[in-house]
Amino acid sequence: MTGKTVLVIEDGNEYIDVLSRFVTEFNYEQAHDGHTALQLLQQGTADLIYLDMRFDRTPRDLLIGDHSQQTKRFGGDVERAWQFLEKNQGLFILNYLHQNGVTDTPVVVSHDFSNQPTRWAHLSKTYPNLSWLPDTITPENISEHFKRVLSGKSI
Amino acid sequence: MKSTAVVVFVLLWGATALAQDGGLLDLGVNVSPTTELDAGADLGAPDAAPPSPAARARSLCVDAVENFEAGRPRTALSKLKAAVRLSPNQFGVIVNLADYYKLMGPRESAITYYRRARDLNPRDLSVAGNLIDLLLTQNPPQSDLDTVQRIVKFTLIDIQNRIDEVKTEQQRLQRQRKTRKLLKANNTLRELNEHLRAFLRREIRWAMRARAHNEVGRIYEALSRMGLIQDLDDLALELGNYYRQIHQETNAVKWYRRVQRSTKLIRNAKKAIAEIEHQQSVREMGLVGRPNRLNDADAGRLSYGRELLSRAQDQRSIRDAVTVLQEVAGKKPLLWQVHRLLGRAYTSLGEAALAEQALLTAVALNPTGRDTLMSLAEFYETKQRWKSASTYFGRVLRLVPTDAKLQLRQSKVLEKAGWYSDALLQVNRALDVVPEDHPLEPSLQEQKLHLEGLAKPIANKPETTADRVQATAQAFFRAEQYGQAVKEARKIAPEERRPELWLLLGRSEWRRAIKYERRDQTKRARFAIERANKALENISSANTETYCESRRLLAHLRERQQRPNAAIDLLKLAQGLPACGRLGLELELVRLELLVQVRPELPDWISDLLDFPYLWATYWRLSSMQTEGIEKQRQGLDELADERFNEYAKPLSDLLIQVRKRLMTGYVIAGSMFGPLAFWFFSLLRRRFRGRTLVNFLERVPSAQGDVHRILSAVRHEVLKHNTTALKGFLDGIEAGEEIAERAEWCRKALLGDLGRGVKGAKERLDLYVRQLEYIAQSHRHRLNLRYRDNAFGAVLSGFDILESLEQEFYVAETTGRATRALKRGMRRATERINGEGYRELIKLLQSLRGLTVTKEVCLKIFEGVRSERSLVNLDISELRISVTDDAIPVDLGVARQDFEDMLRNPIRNAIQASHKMDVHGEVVIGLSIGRMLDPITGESWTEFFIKDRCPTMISETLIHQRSIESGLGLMASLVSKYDGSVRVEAQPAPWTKAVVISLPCPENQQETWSV
Repeated sequence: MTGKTVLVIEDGNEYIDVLSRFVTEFNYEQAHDGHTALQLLQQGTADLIYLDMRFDRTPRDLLIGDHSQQTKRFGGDVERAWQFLEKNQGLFILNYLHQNGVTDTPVVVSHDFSNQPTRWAHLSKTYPNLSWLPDTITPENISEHFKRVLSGKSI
Repeated sequence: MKSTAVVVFVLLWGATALAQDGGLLDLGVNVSPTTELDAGADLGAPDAAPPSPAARARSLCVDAVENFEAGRPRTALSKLKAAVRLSPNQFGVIVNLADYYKLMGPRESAITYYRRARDLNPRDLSVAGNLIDLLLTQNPPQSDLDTVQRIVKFTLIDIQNRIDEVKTEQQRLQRQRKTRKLLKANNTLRELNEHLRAFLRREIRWAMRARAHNEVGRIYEALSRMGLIQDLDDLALELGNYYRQIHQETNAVKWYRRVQRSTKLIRNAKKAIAEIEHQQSVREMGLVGRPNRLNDADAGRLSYGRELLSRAQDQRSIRDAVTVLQEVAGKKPLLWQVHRLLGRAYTSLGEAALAEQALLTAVALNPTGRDTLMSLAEFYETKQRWKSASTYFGRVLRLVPTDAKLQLRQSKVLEKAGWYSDALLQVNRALDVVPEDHPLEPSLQEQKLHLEGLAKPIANKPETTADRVQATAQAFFRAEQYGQAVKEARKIAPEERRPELWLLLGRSEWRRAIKYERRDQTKRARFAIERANKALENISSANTETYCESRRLLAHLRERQQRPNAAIDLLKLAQGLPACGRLGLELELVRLELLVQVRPELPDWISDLLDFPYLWATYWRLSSMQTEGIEKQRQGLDELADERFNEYAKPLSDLLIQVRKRLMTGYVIAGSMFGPLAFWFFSLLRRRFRGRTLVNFLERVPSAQGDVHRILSAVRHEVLKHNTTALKGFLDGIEAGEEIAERAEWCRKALLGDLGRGVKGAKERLDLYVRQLEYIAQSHRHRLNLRYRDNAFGAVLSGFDILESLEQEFYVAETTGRATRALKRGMRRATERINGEGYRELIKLLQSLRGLTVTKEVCLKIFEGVRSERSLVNLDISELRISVTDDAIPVDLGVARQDFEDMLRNPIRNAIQASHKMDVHGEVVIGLSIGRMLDPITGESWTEFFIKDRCPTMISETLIHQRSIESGLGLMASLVSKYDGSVRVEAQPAPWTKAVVISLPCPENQQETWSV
């Protein structure tokens, strides 16, 4: 698996820092928002996407998602709508990439879905190449998971 | 006398003023604000309105006092009467007049005016007390007794109520820490307690007069329970006198025996008891009650004979008187007075036999006549027939047992008769009955000392040369002629001297030494001390009493010679002997031991500190002795360890003070040393055990769930999320022996922060969140103890503490590229704490927050609650039309039950009110639909509650989000927002018009399966 490239999409640098130091078998690229991620993917260098869920440090104008629609949903509360987008930005980016034709690249979301089976069932049905890793995990687990995903084994 | 009366009057008057109006300024008159104004106008403006009657009455009272003080009581009385006429219902004025009558009489007028004053102010304690005292002064009729009983009962209840009120007030003031007011309340309480005691005493007097004897005992017990037994002595004496007066001698003796504290009163009580007992014994002997009549003719003859005798100038006149008296005696042989006079006459004529016969006849005829017995006793005394004299003096003393003068005389007669012990006994009895300042006291003491010297040796033993020498030497010693005493004692050869003589010799030499010292004759003094030493050393331990005394004296000598240790040794030797008396020796020993400076080279405070155990033990021993002695005294016994405690009470107390002073040094030093240590220890304990866990806090304040959940999520994502991976990765690198310099630097910065760049580390973020949780708890008046009591935070925080303590090791690893053993060990522990226990407990905590299961019943209950509210109870509200789609309920929501009820209650209430407003007479129908919504992008499930009504007025979203307090929806929107929910308003198909929709995220309940 050496030489495979993982595109890390996150709002800070924590994931890239940890992965580049402790999971060293892979090459890493980084994007801080959905638009940059799409550009990188269209360049075709990434073999796997490692996606953060919460993006509260990304500038709000770069957030993916229909803010006006969310505002309506939250009864006109603009701030709550932004907070919702930030909290679930990972999944909005995933939806955005999917809508823009990025359907084959496997995606690993850094979020613990083990206690949300219904939600996971819905997401895995929508995005067949999606898998997840919990927030507290060892580098070995990450490495093994990436390798399994890249080899196309069932997750 | 008069001036005393004036002072008493003024004092009473002032006291009444104080009791009534709280100050002397008002002069005992009840002054209303209007009255004050009137008085002011009277003084300040001549052409103003005339003063009110009350002000004039007050002015008259002032005049009355001045007149009374100036010695014009009649003017004072007329002024007081005028004042009462002017203002007949003014309490203070009437009290003044009553006080005047109380002082000057008549008693009945005082009673009348006190009664009037009491009618005006029944709660005045001074008036009630005076009235009771006056009513009880003479033999009161039953009606007065009833009045007294009524007043006493009322006043006692009133005082008790006041005491209760003041106590309640005291507690309040203590809580509020109002010191000055508290002091005032304490004073009031003290005064009320004094009044309570005074009225209880009055009640006893009432019970005495009313012959309610059981009540007397009960009230006395109540008074003694109040803890002032010594003040009850006079009361007990009074009760004894009263019962004696009404011939209830058993009761009287019972009360006399209760006099226990005051020496003077005890003496009076003992005297009274002795008298009663004597009267009883005399009665038992049948000596009283015999008729002894003398008709007028006999009395006339007797008077004539007596007159002749009293006028007799010479032997011839006496013989004439004797002739007349003999004539009377011939006619009236049983008239004892004649025989007594005859006895005196014969004595004057020197005819002893006839005199004795006449006096004996008189005594036989009147065996209890004091004068008769006295005459016979004096006759024998004159004839130096001491034994006979003592017999008849003794009979007189049985009649008047407290006559100290006669007792002294009897003692001297007994002494002359050779009955020294009886003489000593007699003089001791006399000393028991006379007060200390009695003029006979010195003579009695002198006689006692004299007899003490004589009584022992001569009474029981045949007199020898040694006895005579001993007695003489002792007499010289008593007369403070110590030189002579020594000279006398030396008349006996040393080998023949008895221990008592050696002791006397030693004492005499010792006194001589003191005398020489006073005269600055040091050499002589030294020689005298040496001689005293030698004399005392000759006493062997065979005679224990003398031996003990000699050891004590020797100890004194050693102390005088600046050899306290030798003195201590001597006393310790004597201490083991049972005859030596424990208490005195013990005190002497302690005194000496305290005197000895064991460590002269050290400062006193260090020495005291080193002696602390000894001092403490001594203090404990002495204070136990004191307690024991006081307890025995309280029980009426005055002995402790075979000695009289009273003799040692003062030195014991002095020693205790001395020891306490020295112990204080130890306490201060120990306090300054151990105080901070104890403070540190207790604050450590406080930190460890005080405060709640997060779960405990949420159980008490479920409404804080939303805020706590948000912070816990932040801790999970911002503190644990990346760092757990990094920690494990770093630890794996260390274990594998890899090059870790760069990773160590990164880990240090990520975990502990980068001070140079001002970047916060995970530790700092964690502390911030912990503080936020603590603030949340504080806002609900709770205190959290996350570090020590909460499992999740305890583990995470201790893990980060370990990491912080490893900072230096991180630097070493950054430089060398290798981990030290400490880093390796520390990292293992920290990883275990954070990634293992900490993470596991945090997840558990998050799951525990998913509390409320919403069912149809819950919703119906909330609706019923709203429907039965007071403002809505009269409206015609139909049952809730509830519909559920997609198996939306039952559902678990992460919302506190109270908050959920508030979320639903507000829109339901608004819907009811709005519907009723639009159609006052119609039935109000409210619907509740519950459904589930799935977000297509995030996959999150939301439970939606549609509260539907038929009112055409729309509630705008702006209204909700502008936090409209009036309608309560703003508050509800805030609540919903706290739990990440949302509120919106939607139009609804007929028959409904609109719905307020509350959406709440529904978390799933599966256990998280991942672990690190």
